[in-house]
Amino acid sequence: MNNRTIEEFRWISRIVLWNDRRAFEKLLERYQPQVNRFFLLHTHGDESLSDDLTQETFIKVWLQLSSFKMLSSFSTWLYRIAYNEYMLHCRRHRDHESLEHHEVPEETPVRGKAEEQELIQRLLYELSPPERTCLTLFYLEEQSIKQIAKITGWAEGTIKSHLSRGRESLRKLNLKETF
Amino acid sequence: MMTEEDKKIGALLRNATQTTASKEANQATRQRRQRERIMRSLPKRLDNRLITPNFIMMMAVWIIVIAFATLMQHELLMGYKALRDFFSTQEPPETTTIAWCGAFVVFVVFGLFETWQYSEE
Repeated sequence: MNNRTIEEFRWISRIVLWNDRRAFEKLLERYQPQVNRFFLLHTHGDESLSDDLTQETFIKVWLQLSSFKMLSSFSTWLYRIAYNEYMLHCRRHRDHESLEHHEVPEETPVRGKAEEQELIQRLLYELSPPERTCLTLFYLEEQSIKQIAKITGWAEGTIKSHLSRGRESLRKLNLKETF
Repeated sequence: MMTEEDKKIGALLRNATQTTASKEANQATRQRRQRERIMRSLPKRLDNRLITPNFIMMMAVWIIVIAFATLMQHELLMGYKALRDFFSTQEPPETTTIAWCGAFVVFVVFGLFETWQYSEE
């Protein structure tokens, strides 16, 4: 257990036992930017929608924290709630299918760094939702494949293939920075 | 376990998403406002557990009330008699009787308060 985990455990205990709002605010300060980024990438950069989804996620965390059994890390549990919130939003608005299109941006041979970053951003928006979810959780939120499986409920093999397709799409961009 | 390639991709994606973040000049203010909004909208938490801090307090106070009543039953009986006599003969009760009965009443009131707090959960 590292210091970060111990600190989180302390905050969670205080919230569960004493409804400590200050401890919740600390938890919020730590995870709000990441959760917001997760939603921004999944909503094509829609800030107001991302804000609403972030708010809904944290209200659920506040209400359901006593059911957190510490079987996984807090971040995995939190992203599971965030992912479910996103799926619920998609089901409500039935726009999941409309986001399904898979168009990799066209490659242009000479580009500046800013252009490349914009291209990657566009690629993230235009990937299929499962690929975007896997890429975001694995590379940006540093969740392992096992943790992503817990968050999304997908098989590890499925996640690996989504990641590989996502990587392939990135390669197709012919970026200056090779990997 | 992340490979070197994975680390490179992670850095690439992080840089790309940071660009969007930097476009937001007052991102910190926006995040702070959002935190405040979330904190304001937090509903009351429903505690589904049987043994909550309020439950423990309530039980502790009532156990003290019962123990007190058992140990001080003589004084309490005297208090009851003194109160009964006070209305008929106007004879004031002894100070110790008043003190014990007063303490008992305080415990009972405290027990009722804790019960009310527990029922509010």
